[in-house]
Amino acid sequence: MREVTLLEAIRAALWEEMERDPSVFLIGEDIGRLGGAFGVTHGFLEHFGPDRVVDAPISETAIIGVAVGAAAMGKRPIAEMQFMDFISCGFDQVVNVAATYRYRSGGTVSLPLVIRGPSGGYVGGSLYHSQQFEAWFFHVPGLKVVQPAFPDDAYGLMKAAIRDNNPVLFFEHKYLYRRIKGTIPQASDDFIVPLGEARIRRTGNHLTIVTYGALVHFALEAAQQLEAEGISAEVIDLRTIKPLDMETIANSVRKTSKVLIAYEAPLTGGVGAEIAARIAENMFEWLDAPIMRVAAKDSFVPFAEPLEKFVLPSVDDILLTARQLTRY
Amino acid sequence: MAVAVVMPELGESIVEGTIVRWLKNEGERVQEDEPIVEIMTDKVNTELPAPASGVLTRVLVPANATVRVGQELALIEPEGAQADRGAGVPPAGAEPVPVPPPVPESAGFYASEPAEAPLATAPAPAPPEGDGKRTGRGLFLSPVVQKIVREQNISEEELRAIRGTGVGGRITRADIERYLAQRTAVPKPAPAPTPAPAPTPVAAPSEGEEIIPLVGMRKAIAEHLARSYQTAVHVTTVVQVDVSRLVEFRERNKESFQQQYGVRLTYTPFFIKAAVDALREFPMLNASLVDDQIIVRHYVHMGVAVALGEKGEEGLIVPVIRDAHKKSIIELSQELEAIAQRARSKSISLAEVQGATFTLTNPGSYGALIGTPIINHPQTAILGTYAIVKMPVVINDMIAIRPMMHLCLSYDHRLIDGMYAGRFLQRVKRAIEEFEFFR
Repeated sequence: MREVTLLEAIRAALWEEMERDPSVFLIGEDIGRLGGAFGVTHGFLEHFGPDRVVDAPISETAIIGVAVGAAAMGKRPIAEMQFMDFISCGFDQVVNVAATYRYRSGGTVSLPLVIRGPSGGYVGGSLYHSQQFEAWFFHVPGLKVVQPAFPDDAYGLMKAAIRDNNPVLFFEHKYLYRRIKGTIPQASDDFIVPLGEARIRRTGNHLTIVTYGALVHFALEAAQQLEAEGISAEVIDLRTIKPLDMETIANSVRKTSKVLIAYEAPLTGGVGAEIAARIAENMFEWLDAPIMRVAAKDSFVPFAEPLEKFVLPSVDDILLTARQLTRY
Repeated sequence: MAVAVVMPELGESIVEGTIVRWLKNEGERVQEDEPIVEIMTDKVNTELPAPASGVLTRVLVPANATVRVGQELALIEPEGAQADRGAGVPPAGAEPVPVPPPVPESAGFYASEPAEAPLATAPAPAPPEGDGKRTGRGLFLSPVVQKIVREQNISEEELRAIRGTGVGGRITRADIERYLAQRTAVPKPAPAPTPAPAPTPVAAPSEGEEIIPLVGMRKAIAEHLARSYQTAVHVTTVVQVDVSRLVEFRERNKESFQQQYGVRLTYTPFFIKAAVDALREFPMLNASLVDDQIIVRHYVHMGVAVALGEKGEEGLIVPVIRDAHKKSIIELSQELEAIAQRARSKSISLAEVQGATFTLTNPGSYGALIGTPIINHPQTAILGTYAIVKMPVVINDMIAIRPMMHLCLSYDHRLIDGMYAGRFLQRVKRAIEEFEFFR
């Protein structure tokens, strides 16, 4: 076992998969000589060479386009977005080209592609370096969407994403990059976290908190405080946002009958809306209270720290809503 | 398909009524013809029967709301449809079960628009009431609680006895599970319990007593008077009236009047006439206070209390003489006798007991000297005419014997001040004392 940060866990997964499979290669802005804006690929160019660690021009369309073409030809490209905010520049390549490839080819062409990069707020990154864009891709058939909250999950999920034969969007939360430490298995263990499986990070009986990304840690902190108040909250880390692990959620809802869905993106049209709808459709008779959401205000993420705190969901927001739900 | 409970026509000219209360709550089973809702029209309270057997799935109109004839009041779903749903509840992760969601009372819980009041910081709902009792708004059961109620055959009585700890005393899943844990001693009712019979008096009569259920007219009177007494601020003002002229006139004319007009000449039409004329000058006593609005009528529909039964043991009804302000003593006499006759023979229509703007009661007919009548809600005043008794009175510093009568006016002090009521009484008094006969 190795004690690593979440960032180091991702680096380890990338490294080990490149060692294991020569068809895996990296492409992105400043990932080679600089080693990436956050240093995820530090040392990769020296070890794997410029054919497998490609410094690309500042064009997300080009980066994703090259990766899509290479994947269609049998490679396993990993395209880095310097910030996930800028995936919007390559949007057409993601939703119209990559996502549709298998469908357009009548199932004959696989697209083993990973698009990864830092996302999320709480770091004073202001509006173009703080966004959580998962909901856009959550909406598109043919894509898988992942956001880990712990090093072991980041490590195991990245390996699974690289080995998956479909386009996977891998949202790495920059707030967690160096804050969250944990142990990961040795390379020889060939540890994988399958895509599409949520993980219960804390068990409880009174309410279920469904979340992912940085808010997993907020929810766990809130759950700890709630415990002191006699409220027992179960915290589910989705890990994979798409496909959704409704079974884990359902089992928990049957136990608690109360659901709080927490996510960092703006409230409206977020992943939580879909989860709430599915619970309402399939599990109406198990509910003892309205399904509640905690999310960002419908706003961009401001630069000023107090404003950023105001817009983004907090531990206190989760606490308030959890108490409200418990009392209902 | 759901069957609608519709506000029926309760009589000619009746276009609306008021829901007094729901006798059944949402989710309860009802039998065809079983009373499910009590409706009040101006005078008569009626219990509407269920049009079909099944489960009362939706109450569309709350208590105290006014409903128009033909309006849908509630929905009843056939028993079968409900049972199918119950049986069809799938295990974990199965297909959705279509169940129409009940409307939660706490809509505010959902309602906040993030831009104005983000959910996360929205004010918490009102804390549970201390005693955990429910308010009179009925029982909201969340989907999971409904499911448990169905699966465990928990009866309405049991539910009512469970102390709810949720918002507004709502029964939470935890509450009902706690109840189930200690319920073991209670035998489970049959899977499809027949609805309980109409509630019978709990108390068994002791020796020398009998117990009569409060039903029908007695119940309507009881509730109507209680409502009036609780709503209006009652004050009674009394004046004494010298009815010498009236008594003299009646004695002189009663036989010819009977022959000419076919009805007995009584005092009541004169009192009506005097009151009506005075009301034209004191319109606030002919008004109603309804929801912060004062409805002033420029017409007078005079209600006249008529006791039923030899000794008044069959209750009381208040027929209405419509547009009394347009009628002469003769017309009033004729109409009064006809309407009182119909009331006593119980052939009076609902329309004939509705819409009074003022009421006259005559306890003098059974010898009462003085009293404090209760206002006929939502009217503002009631005039009582009491027994005509010969009394010594002082006139011009001399003692004389005169037939005297008390006029007692009870009025709603919220709307009427003492002087206004006093002036009105003086006006009635003068009209009677200085009366002239005009046909």
